[in-house]
Amino acid sequence: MKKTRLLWSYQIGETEKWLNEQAKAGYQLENVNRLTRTFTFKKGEPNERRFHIDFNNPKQAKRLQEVGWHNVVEAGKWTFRQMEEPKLYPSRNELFKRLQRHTLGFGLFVAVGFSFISIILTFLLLFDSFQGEPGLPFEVLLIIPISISLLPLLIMVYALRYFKREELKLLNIETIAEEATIKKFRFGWDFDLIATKRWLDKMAIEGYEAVKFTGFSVHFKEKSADFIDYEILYTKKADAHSFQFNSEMGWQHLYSKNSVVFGMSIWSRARQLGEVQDDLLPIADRKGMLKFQTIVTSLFLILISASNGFVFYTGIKLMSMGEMLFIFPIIWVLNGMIAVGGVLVILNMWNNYRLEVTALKRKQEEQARI
Amino acid sequence: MEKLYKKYIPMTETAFYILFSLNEPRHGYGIIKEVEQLTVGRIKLGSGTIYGTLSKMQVDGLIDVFSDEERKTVYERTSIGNKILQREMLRIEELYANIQRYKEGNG
Repeated sequence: MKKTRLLWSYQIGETEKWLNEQAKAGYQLENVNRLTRTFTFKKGEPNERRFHIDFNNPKQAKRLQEVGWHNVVEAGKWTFRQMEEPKLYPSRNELFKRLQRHTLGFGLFVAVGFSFISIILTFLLLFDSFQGEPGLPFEVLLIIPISISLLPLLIMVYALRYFKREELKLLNIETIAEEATIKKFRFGWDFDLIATKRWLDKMAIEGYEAVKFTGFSVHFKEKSADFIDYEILYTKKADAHSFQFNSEMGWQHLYSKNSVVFGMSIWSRARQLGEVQDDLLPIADRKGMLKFQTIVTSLFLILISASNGFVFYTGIKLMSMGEMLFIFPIIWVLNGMIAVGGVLVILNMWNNYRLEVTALKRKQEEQARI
Repeated sequence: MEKLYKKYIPMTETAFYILFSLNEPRHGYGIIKEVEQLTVGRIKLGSGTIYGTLSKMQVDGLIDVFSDEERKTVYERTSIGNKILQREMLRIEELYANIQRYKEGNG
């Protein structure tokens, strides 16, 4: 018997459950074809063994065999293992990394591929309208490439959400389902994370606990304990173990953005009076993280400010040459504002960095005394 | 291996207790509880400290990370970890013996 599951490698949990059901019904897995996404089964005795799908994990193979797993199918870097009542499972770290690589790869592929198509289409249309052929005006024709590039954008947004959901499922991390009572608009909260952390602390003192982060705002509810502690982690690479570890230690996952280059995540923990405050990062490692975050964001902002400054400058030049269109000044003012704003945010960020490091040093000295 | 001995011996007290507590596979929270018990409440490890130490040890192969039935992370000491712990315990035994001798001499 053959069965096809297109997205099996992204829905690992579901696929494992499905394989368990097949085994229970007496269909034993024989082969997996990665290209056609097809699973081949052979009719046999029903069994209650559990499946586990492992990826790129040769290091743990020996230990897993010791505890009783046996390899059913090996296909490329994939290993399908089965066992009666497993106590020990391989970790999901490699799968987590794979999912992230694919998110990035897919994003790039869609973005580059479709903008390429829409550029070509635009040129074709331009060429067509210069030929003087009777037809629709250029502005109307422009809708075609624009809508063609909008479609992949929608696909991308959907796909990224899908990947994110699967990522959290893979890590067994629950998201909060609680209703928010207030929403606070905060543009660019994910830029200056130190400032955001200070703001969250202030909101907690005022009695509000963050439950959700969106593009431009943060949603709060009335706080559930005496204190709400926050941690914003910024690491050079995302790591599945730390995610699982944090959530097992009672930290609530609020938001995370992971890429192959770096990972950012926001965590909160409710604490009653008298309880010891937990931390997600040793004090000694904090300075490095803060610096890394400040530098990365600064570089990004410098890039934005510089390019907008450049457009502003050329705009002024053009204006002095007498080229005028009413929309231009608006664009220039915007460019100028973004350039200046970017620089101000950078300065503020480094000031926050300085404040945080001073606070850290004080904490470190206190700890040393104890 | 020599390189690892150099890196890990002597160990910090928290690193020692974390590795020591893994005489059986444990969750992160289990390690904290075990260390607290071993030191009669003197050492209460924070998540950050314990995770930092565990991930360093994992990179160097002293411990390995698995999951349990509920898909919680489980830490296990490897044979390399055992060797390092043995060597460190010898060092501490020497320390202890010297303290005893000193006490007897002054007693």
